[in-house]
Amino acid sequence: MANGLAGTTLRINLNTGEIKRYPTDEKLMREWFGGRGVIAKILYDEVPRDADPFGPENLFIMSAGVMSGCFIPSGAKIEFGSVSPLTNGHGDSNMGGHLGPALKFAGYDMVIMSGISPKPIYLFIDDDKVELRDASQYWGMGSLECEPKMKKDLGEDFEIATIGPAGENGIRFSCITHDFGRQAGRTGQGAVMGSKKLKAIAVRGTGGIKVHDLQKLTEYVTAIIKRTQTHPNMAPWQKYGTAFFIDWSNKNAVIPVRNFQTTYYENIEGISGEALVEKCLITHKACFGCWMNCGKYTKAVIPGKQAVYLEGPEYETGSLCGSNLGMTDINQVAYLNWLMDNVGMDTMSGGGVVAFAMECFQRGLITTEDLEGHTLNWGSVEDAEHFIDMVVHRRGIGEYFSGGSKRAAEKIGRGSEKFAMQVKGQEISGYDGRYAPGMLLSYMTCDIGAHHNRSWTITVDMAEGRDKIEGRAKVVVYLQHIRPLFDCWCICRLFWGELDIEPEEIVEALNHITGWNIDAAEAFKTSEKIWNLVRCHYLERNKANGRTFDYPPARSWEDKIPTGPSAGKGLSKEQIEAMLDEYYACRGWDNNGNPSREVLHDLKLDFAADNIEKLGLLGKPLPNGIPTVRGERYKPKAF
Amino acid sequence: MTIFLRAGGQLRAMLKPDIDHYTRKVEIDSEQTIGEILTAISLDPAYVALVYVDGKMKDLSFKPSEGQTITLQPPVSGG
Amino acid sequence: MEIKRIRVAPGKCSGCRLCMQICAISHYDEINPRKAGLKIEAHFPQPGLYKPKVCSQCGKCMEACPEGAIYRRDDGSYIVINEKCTNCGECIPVCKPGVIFQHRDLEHVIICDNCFKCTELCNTGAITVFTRPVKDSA
Repeated sequence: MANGLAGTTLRINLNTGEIKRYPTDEKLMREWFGGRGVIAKILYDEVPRDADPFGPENLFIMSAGVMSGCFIPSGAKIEFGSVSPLTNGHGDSNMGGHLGPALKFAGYDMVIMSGISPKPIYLFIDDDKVELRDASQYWGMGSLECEPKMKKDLGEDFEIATIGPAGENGIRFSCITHDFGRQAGRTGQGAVMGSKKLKAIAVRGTGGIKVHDLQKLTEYVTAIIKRTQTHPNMAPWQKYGTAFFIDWSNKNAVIPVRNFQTTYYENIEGISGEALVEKCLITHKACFGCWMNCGKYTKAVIPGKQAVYLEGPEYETGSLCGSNLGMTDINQVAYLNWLMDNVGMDTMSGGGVVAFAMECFQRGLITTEDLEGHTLNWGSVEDAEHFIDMVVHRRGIGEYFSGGSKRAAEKIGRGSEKFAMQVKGQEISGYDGRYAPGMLLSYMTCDIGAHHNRSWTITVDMAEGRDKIEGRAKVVVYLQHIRPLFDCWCICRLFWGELDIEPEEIVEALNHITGWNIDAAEAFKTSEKIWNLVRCHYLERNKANGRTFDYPPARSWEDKIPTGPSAGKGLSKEQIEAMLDEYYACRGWDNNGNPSREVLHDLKLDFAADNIEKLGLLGKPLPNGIPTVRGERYKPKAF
Repeated sequence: MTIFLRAGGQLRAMLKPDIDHYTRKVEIDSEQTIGEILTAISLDPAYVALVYVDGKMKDLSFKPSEGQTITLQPPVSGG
Repeated sequence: MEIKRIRVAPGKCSGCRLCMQICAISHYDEINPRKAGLKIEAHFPQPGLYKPKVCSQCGKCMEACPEGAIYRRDDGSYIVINEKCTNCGECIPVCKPGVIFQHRDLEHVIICDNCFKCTELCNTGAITVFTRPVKDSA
């Protein structure tokens, strides 16, 4: 194949150990774009709607997409997907590093795993040798300890991805770790791996990837390199990575502080990007084929503990495990980052869950008796570490929190549901939405539970007016179409999004690689199709109107921001309802949040329309036909 | 005195570069802070996530010197 | 007379492997880092550094080659004549940086030919070209 694909797809039955190879379905890849898109289609088609995410019928899929490994800037990603144990809907999460390219160099585009292995195993791929090997010697190890051990055992040139004890023990927000610090963090993909007794994936590939037009691609990439080398954003990115805008987030009062109780942090200097670089930085670390080098490999030193080595903290971890937990020193945040990476816990949900628990402790809803005699105070690394250990091993009250803050709140009750900061079961990202309505709407409507990756609108909120809610929906919809495309093609949004590269230029690169000759309009339409399919899948599994699940926690409208530059600000419930109304209208869904047949037909998803209709969840006919704005390329006015 | 402001991404349109694709030459008073300079050229400092000078992070109270190049970074669109 | 070599600046490599990609593309029209004439060693979790290993054009491979398949070019570079190479691999153990490679697709070894394309794409300054006066041996 001269289209950026490696050529072979693997299907593995973990019950029996059977490994099947077959030619990658190029038509499927073309129609669903690989990565997140093809994963969405396969999960929709093959996982029964009542399948337990931890059961044998759930699939665990890894897809390297068409652009990964193809000498394209930041072409390094690999996408994982399964029905999420955290949200009970389609779940996908990706990571950078080198695993995606390695899989393709070995000759494989996708690996689809079903069943449950009778004993701990790891997937071993060495070019055309594919085996399920005994992992009993690695089971129980932390991710950051397991990876070097496996490299020593197998060869330093193997790319390794592992889960830690959190994934092994079914902590629903477990992650997958690779390359000493890259994670596929969200939606609990590590927990699904653990449920299948799949400890790790080890890949070595020595083959090549053929593309449609290597000469044009090489010229294109060389030109992009030269153009972006002098871009003003490049040098600061290379120095600080995503941590640089911790300060900005605080100044504009969107940073979460002590479980989103407020949005301005008095101790920001201690956990800022500058603090990271000055106190902890060892080296700048890149993913395969990316010269932005935004990864920051660091060392954290806490008194009384051994120094630890990690990648990060990135912005999300820096905020959600920093100000959100009341930490005051970057070493503390880095240490917690390392801890969660090693046990294999998503630092975003992990930060959210620990913060929720800390607020429960603050309010006396959990006590030292619940915590094995320990406290759980803001700003205490020791307390956080002990609590995380209880959660990872599901001891005592740790069992409540092992399912995320939503499930914990259901058990704890007494009003705690209000401040379990999640949507659809997944904890929200490191930005408070009470005075950034587009951001709140982004969380509410994100397909995989609250996550900023699909849509981030804070500068739009600032430009359009933070007190105004009208007009946010079309921006959110536009972003929800363009941003997931990176997760389909397995390239990194940060490079392409931060350096003035237009969507048409990205599509040009795609065409040099694949020869598919698509344009930006088709790209957006396909992304919209995937979005709607994921929505239908969610409705079918959860059997209720979509609107039921699209609300943020009650803190979002009951608690005005108490302190800082945004003191007194917040949204009302009516405003939240109005934003949802506008969003659904924009999408061509009815006011229950259910896709209409008109839109699904337009997207060639009639089969999905039939399915949700059987459940009584098909959106009512649209009174004014299909809205045109949903596909509109919305360009917000310059801030 | 003369300084140079550089910005890309979402800040570029606000900067109105005149030297090259990303750079604008600005004449300032010697005691002006970056925040004051940006306000004077109608670039709202609220949208500047990072002020980067000679490889270091500065804030809006930084006072540039003659001939310095100041890079203005917008916030990352979620990271 | 002066010759050009690749210099490695310690501590600057970020591990992106662009150098390896462009090397393979330039010489074999293929996206395949395993066909590059250099490599990046990753030292993680500690000390947490990448170390590029590049050909120093020392000439020991030429001395070791039993087939006379490696010669010294006028610019001081050591070049393998693919047609003469039997892929015996005798040159591999004598290469101190460990940058002579074999690949299952090829019937000859891969040795850096000093084209410097890798340095053109390196964005960190980890590998650059430097010029020095020629010595008697290399």
